[in-house]
Amino acid sequence: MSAETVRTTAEIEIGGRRANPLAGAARRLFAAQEGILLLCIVALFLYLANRSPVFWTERNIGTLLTQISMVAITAIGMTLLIIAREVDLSVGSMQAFIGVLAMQTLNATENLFVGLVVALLVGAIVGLINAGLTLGLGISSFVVTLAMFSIVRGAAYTSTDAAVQNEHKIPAFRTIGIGAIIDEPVRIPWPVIIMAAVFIIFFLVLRGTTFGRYIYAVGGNPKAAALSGIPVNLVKTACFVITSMLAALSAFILIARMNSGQNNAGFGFELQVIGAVLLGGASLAGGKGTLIGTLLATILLGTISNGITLLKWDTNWQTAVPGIVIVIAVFLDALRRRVTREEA
Amino acid sequence: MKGSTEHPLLGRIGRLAVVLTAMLMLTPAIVLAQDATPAATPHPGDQTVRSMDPQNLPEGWTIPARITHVTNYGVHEWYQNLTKGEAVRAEEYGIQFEQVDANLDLQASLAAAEEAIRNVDVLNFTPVQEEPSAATITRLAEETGKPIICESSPTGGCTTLVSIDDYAAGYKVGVWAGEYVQENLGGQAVILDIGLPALQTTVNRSKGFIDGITSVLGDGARVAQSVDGKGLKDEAVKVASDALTANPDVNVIFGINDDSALGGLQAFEAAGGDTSNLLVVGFGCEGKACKDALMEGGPYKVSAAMFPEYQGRLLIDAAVAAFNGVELPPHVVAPSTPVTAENLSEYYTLENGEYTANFDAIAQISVEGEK
Repeated sequence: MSAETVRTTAEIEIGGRRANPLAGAARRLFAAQEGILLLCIVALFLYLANRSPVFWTERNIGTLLTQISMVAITAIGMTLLIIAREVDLSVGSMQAFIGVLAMQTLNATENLFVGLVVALLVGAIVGLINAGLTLGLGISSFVVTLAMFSIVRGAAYTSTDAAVQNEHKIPAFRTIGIGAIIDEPVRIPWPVIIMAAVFIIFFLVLRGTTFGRYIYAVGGNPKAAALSGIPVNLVKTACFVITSMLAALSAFILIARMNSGQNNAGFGFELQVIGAVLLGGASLAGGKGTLIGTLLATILLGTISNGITLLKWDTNWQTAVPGIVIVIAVFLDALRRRVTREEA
Repeated sequence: MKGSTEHPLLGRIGRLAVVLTAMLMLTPAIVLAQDATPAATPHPGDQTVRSMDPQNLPEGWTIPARITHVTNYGVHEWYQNLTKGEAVRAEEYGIQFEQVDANLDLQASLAAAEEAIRNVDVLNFTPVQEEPSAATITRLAEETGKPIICESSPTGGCTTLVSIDDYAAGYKVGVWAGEYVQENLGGQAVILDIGLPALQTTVNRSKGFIDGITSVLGDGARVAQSVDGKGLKDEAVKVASDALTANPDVNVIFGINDDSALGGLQAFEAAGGDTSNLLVVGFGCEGKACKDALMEGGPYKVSAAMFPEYQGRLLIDAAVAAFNGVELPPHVVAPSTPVTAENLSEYYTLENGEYTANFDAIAQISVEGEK
């Protein structure tokens, strides 16, 4: 009998009795941060479906998923970056700067592809600058991207006196923000499809490629990773660039939804993104985190925001409740670690 | 009862009841009489400010050398157009004008006011927060003896306040909306109010609008939901999307500024709503986005225009008057009126894609009864 078989049998046989498979599943669910989040989401969905007749409708679920898509897309990149033990605080300001720049490009060229490429390229350049200053000069990414947060916001203000309106009138542009890939049998909005595609791509990258394993290794122990021959700076640079490019993609969807490039857009966006990543189980100490956790956390926070409006609560709770939820989730995670004796 | 003696206390109560009854009966008459009373005489200082001509000032007046405006949020289109108006008017007087912006930082705002007032003859000031700014502004006014002209929100220590009457502007545009709903939407308004509860001025706008539309439609006007769009378009799109899901029967969207109203419209379009049965009401109309939206002929039909360029002129005129010792009223009310596709050209001239304010027409807008 192999060791694997013995361990499996021991797990199933408890006190001479066969364990309840449901209890086993529940234990496994509770053993991961994703499980806690899933339970929170299910509980919240049940509560809201009970309290609001419109919550569990196709229209609301579509609205909810569309609303979270921009945070989720950027949070996917941020998860990679935080696993690699870095952070980017400039993603909120980028919603303004890239949005304004992309709309100006669209107005000038009347070409959707050119507008998108310019947005992504500028995003990549911002990511490269963040990486260069952090890794080249050895400055903390917190400090570098805090500076970039101000620089990029200032650039947005400087590049336009006011909002840049849609003067190009490209029909496909609005479709990205408010259109749907299919309307029957259920309406699936474009931002949701883009979010799903980005999620699948980076889920596979993180789970199934050498690059994905390098990200965990670099974040978990950079010195050991370097000694193992992993190009630490290259991996981190890639994570910075991916994060900035995904923030640029979010900005592009945002301007399509608003039908204008606003130089005051994205206030507090970075906190929503980083909050979702940390709530999803990633650690600022690096080496830890999953995209499923990030996605679930984004859904949880988005549902709270949606629910507060549907239930017509005082909208000031929209600021306070996500903070309370993060504290509760961290408490449950600490409880889980104590029960499962997992290290923080 | 014949022969009986009335208790003195009962007699007093009886007389009191008669007096109270008479007073109650007279109250409507007193109110009506007050309504019929001619409007109070305009404050002489107010009239002076409204009639000033840089080329024809009263004899003996001197022109201040420098005026600085400490703004609270200079990147907003409102402040860009307002300070442009101030700069143009200052140039007409030959005054050196500067703007310092606090970017919503209270401490930066107060520090800028402290520094600027030492080097200028008059300080124009927009508070980041009204009450926490009052002590500093009062002290600076007392220490320096220089006039401080406040904009937007009343603040202790200011010589005067130059701003619109937010409630009255909201009320007027609410009445316009009520009449539109009566004529075009069957007299039933289900309202989504995209507000900003953190500021008293914007609360007054929402309150004025709701009172105005209700004054026309009565029970036909119903506020389905009030949400906080934080005055930002991205936030307005987000909260309006959720609120429109909860209230799919909304047919009137009111926003406390252009971004809020346009954000509400985007959310309505994103939800696939029928815009032919929708009325969008904005506030401010300081930028090109609002004016273009009005001229498009879509559901964005009206906005309570605040004319920032004209208000900038009033701020400089008030500063010059105060510098010359003119006693100003506590509030110089700036004009506001509902602008639509039909009357926009009366107040703005469109040339080469740019809108230029027609000051003569704006100056004719009545502010009587506003405070």
